[in-house]
Amino acid sequence: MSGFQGFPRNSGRPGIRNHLVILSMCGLNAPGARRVAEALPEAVLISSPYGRGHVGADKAFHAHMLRAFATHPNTGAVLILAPDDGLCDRMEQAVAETGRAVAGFSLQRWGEDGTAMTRAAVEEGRRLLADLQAVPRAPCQLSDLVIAAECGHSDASSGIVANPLVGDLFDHHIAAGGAAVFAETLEWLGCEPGLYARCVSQDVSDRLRALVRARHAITEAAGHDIHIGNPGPQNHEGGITTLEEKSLGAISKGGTGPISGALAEGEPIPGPGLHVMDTPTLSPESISSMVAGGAQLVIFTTGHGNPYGSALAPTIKLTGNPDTARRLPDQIDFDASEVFRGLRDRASLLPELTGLIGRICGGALTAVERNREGDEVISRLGPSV
Amino acid sequence: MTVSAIVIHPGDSVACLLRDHRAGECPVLPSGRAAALAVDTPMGHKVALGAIRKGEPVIKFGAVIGHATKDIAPGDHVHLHNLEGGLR
Repeated sequence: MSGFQGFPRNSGRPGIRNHLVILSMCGLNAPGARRVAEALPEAVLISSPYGRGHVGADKAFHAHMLRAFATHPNTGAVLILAPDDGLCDRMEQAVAETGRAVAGFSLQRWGEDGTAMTRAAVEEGRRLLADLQAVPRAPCQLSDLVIAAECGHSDASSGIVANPLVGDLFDHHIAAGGAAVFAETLEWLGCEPGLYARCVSQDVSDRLRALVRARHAITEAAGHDIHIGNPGPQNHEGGITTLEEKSLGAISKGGTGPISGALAEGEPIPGPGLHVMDTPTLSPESISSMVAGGAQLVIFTTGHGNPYGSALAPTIKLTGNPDTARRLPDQIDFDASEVFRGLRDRASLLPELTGLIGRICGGALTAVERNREGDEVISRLGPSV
Repeated sequence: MTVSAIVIHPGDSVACLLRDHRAGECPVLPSGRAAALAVDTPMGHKVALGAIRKGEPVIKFGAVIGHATKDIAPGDHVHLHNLEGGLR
């Protein structure tokens, strides 16, 4: 894959999609935003159920994530739904500054008439979609592609086939000048010293240490010991003996290269190379954080299968489990199970995987896109007041 | 001969079985046959490629996943009974 046909942006990395994003900034707008999304099925709905009473870091994070989605490389234009003019205008300005088309609708401006407002938003959305659909794709550099990796509902095939294959992809993509990121801090348990040792500088390893320590402090403060029953009986039955082994299987999707950056949840991925991001374990939170960081494409490995993906970043579902590949052909984009059946060697699948990535970057739909299983969520960093 | 076991990283001291194996069977690696298995060993589980002495590290994914708690012979099932991690 030498490059891809994408959507160059005035600022920042190019998109592999040119989505109209319906950005519902507050729970007060969520029902109306759902009506707008039903009328505009080509658009991507990103809807926060919160938006008032956040304080401190939680408030800053919520605002940062909404803005990151609205100015994401795969976002072509934004329809903002907000409760008040202040929120609406600030977001409108932030989006406009990136050169994207934007239209803002606040309940305040519409005299709290949600029905009239959503009707107008649908009309404006149709105009924005027509403009976006007229934009042709153009050549883009592979080095501007940020790939995120996630794993979910894992089994023996994940650590043996699927995750190491994604690791091969990461090594290959980074050698070609690209950027990649993996996350889920508690899945690194017992392997953190190996990750620290892979950091390109003392600063990066110090930052990673601090992020890991802070994540563990959350579980300790809640009275949880994450080492108890980990690995559990299901892991043992599947052949996993030790915690280090389980974690190595998870982080093998990050490949073998040096770690160029340690990032907080949702923090922008600054440049090429391998990055690790401190995130919660739940896939929706973890994936959305990496997408907010700038990932345009997600590779999601699964053992038993699960349908979920990002709404904004095409998400490739990859399994090494032959039963899952057979059972869920409409949910799996890449079947690596021939390696698990001993029919192929892992290295021989890499060209097929990069070929699929090239097609998806160029506009071919993923299973998540076809099945409308994409979403974006924003983690809460603290309680509301 | 269909491959029936895989070595994830070139430096690993264990192979992973791609299907259930019976005692006495020799797993087929891409590089050739491994030592005959001491016991019935299920899919996904690890078997020793060479001898591992008590106290020595066990390597998978090219990294230490724990240490042998007793002497392990080639073809032995490597699991809870003879391998312990560093985190308890």
